[in-house]
Amino acid sequence: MEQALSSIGNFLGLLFILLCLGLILFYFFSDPTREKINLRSIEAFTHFRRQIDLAVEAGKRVHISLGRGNINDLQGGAALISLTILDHCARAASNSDRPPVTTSGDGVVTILSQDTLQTTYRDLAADQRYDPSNARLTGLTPLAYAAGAMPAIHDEYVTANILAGHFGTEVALLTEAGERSQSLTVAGTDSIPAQAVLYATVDEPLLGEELYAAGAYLGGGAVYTASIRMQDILRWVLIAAIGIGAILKLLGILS
Amino acid sequence: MTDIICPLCGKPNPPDLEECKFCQAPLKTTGFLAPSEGEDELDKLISSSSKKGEPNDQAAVPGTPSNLEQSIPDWLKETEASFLDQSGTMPSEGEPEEPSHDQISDQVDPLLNPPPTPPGGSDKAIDDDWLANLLAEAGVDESAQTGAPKEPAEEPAEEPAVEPSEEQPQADYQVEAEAPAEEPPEEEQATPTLPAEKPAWLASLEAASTIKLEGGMPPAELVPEEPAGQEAGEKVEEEPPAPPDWLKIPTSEETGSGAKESEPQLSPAELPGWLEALRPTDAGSPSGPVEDVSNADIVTAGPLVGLRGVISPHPSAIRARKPPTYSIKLRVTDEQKARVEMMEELLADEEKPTPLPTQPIITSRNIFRIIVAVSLLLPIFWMIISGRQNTTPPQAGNIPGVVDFTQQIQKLPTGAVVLVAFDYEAGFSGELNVAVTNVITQLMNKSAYLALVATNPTGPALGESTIKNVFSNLVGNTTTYSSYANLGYVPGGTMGLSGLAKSPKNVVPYSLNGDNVWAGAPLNAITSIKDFNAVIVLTNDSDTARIWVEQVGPLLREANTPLLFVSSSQAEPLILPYYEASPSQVQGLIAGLAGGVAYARSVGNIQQNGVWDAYSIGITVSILIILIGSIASGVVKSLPAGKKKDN
Amino acid sequence: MKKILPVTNAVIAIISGSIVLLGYFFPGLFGGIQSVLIGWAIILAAFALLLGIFNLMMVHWKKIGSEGKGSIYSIVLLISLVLTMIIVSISGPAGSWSLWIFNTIQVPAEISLLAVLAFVLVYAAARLLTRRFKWYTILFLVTVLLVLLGSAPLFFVGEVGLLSSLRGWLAQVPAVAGARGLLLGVALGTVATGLRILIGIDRPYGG
Repeated sequence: MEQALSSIGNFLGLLFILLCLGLILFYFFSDPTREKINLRSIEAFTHFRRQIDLAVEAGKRVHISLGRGNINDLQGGAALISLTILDHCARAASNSDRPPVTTSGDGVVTILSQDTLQTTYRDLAADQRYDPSNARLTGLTPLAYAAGAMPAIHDEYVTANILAGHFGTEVALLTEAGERSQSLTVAGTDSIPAQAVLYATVDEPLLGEELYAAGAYLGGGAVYTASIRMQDILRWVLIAAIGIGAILKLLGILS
Repeated sequence: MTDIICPLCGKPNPPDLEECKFCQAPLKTTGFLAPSEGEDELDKLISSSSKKGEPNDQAAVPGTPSNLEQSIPDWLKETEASFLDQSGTMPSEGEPEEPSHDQISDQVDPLLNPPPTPPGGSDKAIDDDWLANLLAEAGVDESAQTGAPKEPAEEPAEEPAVEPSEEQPQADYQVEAEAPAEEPPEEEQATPTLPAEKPAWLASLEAASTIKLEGGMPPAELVPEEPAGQEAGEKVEEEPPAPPDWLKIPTSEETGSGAKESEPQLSPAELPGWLEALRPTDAGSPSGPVEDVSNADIVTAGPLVGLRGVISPHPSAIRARKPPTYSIKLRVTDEQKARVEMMEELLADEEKPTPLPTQPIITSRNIFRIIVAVSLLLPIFWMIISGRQNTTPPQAGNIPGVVDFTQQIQKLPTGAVVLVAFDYEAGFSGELNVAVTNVITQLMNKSAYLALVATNPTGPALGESTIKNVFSNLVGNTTTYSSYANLGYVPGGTMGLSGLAKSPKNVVPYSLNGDNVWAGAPLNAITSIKDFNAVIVLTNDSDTARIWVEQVGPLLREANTPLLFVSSSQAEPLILPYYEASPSQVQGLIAGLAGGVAYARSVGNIQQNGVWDAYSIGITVSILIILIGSIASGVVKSLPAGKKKDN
Repeated sequence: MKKILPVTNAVIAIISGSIVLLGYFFPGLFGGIQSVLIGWAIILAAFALLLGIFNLMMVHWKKIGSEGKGSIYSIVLLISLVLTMIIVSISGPAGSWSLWIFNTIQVPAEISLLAVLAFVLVYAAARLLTRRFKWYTILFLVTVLLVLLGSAPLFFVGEVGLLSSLRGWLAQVPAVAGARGLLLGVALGTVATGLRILIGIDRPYGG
């Protein structure tokens, strides 16, 4: 019995992943045409769309900061989400006079951001608008990255900053630069200390898993809404598990 | 003088030329007769016909009594005058009075140029006794007479001749024109619109008249069907043009035979009483306004000469002429020119790089920033410069993790092999240096062999620098500490760390100096990370700490190898649960400056450099700034102006 | 070719991701190939770092060419980069010249930036109510002040035991509980993102 429980415990992670995968595929294939579900209003995404529109209309630039998360790390999820946001921004601002500029603090993310921009412009049949120098590595350490991204906010006709990805507390330097240059800033990160900083320095921060919902809120497609549903279901499962575990621990049943 | 208009260039040429003297285009085949001033084609035709001894209608020449007028007997003129007195002089609705000149001649004009009258518009009750008598003799009453014009809708040309209205008083020749149609009694019966017999006086008048018109003068018939100009031009060249057939005065035989051949004799229709009762009685009243053509232009050329309000048949509309040349210069007004210049300026500005908006230096925010900066910096500088030690440093027992950390270091054997991860940013050196320096000092005191690694790019340099500085402070000279190996940077984040945990020799095979440190002692005994005596992670990032705990921790726990952390204050809340867990996943923790000072105090290495006082006063000033700023912001926001601004 | 390449990329990504994932649960079966793939990933990450530095050089080289406002800083950056590379190549990564550059330029610069960060955070906290005048903002500020009060003894007042205890409770119970909740949400989002890439629906690699 104990061996069976031990083996189940070893494969609990695999079971959890398979459960997540099954839920995503179920919702994706059960009603793939139903892209829109009732999403609660997140002001940051509303501002996000508006800022891109305003930037395009004003002939200004959108600055997208992808953070310094490595896709090989725990921050890989935030880094990949930031690439999704970059794809959306590049498409929305493709007809702008000035294409979006991206900054990142990791070599892999920089290459992926260049690739994302190139693929997006190719899809839009606007290959000539692709400029590799619009996707930049500004620094390899957090503070060097922030220091390198600040001039991009100040000097490159930026009217909107979208900070999405993995940041530390150095993100406050970027938000301060945005405020000084009177450009609007929307920011979201997976880092807890950075979220505390963003709460104090940005009007509408993306907290917790809100950053990961970007694909669904920006109209990414059915797979993103399926992911959102999966997360909602598993969140309730986790809440229930934590609640039951706490009660069992309180009653002394669970050692 | 009649000129020939060139069909190509439109310029007049003398009639004797066969080719245009301007463009050499042939004139004989396609040229048109150019009308002379005061004379048009119809006048010419009429005059030519009068030259032949035939009567002519001179109605086109106002003020001149025509031959026709002269031939009208006096009694008829009197009758007409009385008729005009009674009805003709009374202008009908919508029709202005004719200009005053010879009354009789004026009757010709509207007759030649009949206004578009609505059906029945010309049907008026016949007031003349003599005509009424005639109708009575013919057995047709007035009501039948008024309704008559509606029936022959297909023959509108006969209407004005049959029933002259008040708007179109009957002229002499019009009366004559009726004669050929009404002269034979058979035709009168055949034509329902002409039920009345022609009186004898009318027949005599017809005989005396030189012009006989068939059914009046419908304007449509005046327009030649063929290219009239071409024929006329040829006739002008060869002989005087003959009047058209309709202007010829037919003889009674011709007219009669023609009518007999073309129309069979028809008896007048007898309507039944019920149908007679259904006939509208007001059919003869005008149903619409009569077009006012008094102000219309009089045609001065072509067969419709003298007519008013008709489309000119002058060939100018179809004349082939040289296209006019226009100036290619654009005529632009000053206003348009100004707008063009404005547009050009806008387009030029589009290309120019617009300068970045310059921010004003002195703003309320900037002033507040300066106040905050000065308030923070001045006390800290003062404390560091004065080196005061007023504030009591924290004790190790009050800071969680410090005591355990100290014990773990003390438990290490002499010459222990310790893996030290320099995973903090250089910027956090100020906060972490107190703890790091003391930890490295303690390790050196135990002659521990230090294997330095880093998962961030600046870690190797930071580790190298720290070892050298600490050792130089420890021994008091520049001798290099020899029991250490800087293994350098481990790329790949979590995966790199996972690889390092399983097989450090494969992930970092050489030291920073290029030596194969794994071949010699003491690292040749290390096959896995759990073979180290202790692992100390120096980090400022909670995520990095988590990776170490989750990726490396399980392996270390297998061999009871302690995992110790020196972290910044910002990472402390997330590392502390690992330390406080049971069983603990982190065996010792020094967090922040407070932890570093407490550890230094516990190992007896506290320095009187005023750092703790500076930290204390910095925290105190920060609290005051936040408190004052928040109260001020709250007051401003509570004021009506602030609320209004929010809205 | 334009159609084949994305499909090939997706197939490689799916297979690699699946093998690495299964290697965690079946180390005997997939452990070997998982280690190989991880080794490749580490090498690629190192080369990506080099490519990133090359990208940094190219961007600032272009800036110098454009003669814009910040071209002088780009010149300084490129000169510093080249000089550092030369010196570290000659002196070695742990050489005295390399450490001199590090200790006298990089460390003070980063510490100064961190000091600016501390100042920015104080300034932002002081202005927070002007940005968001809500009850939970006031709660946030009260918590910040309590944690600060308990972090260090107040100047001229000394350490207040109650405040230290309160700070410990705030940092360990509500703050960590909230952080754990956020981290669970982040973990779910990360799993969903990873799975989308693993099954090839989301392709951030030019597929």
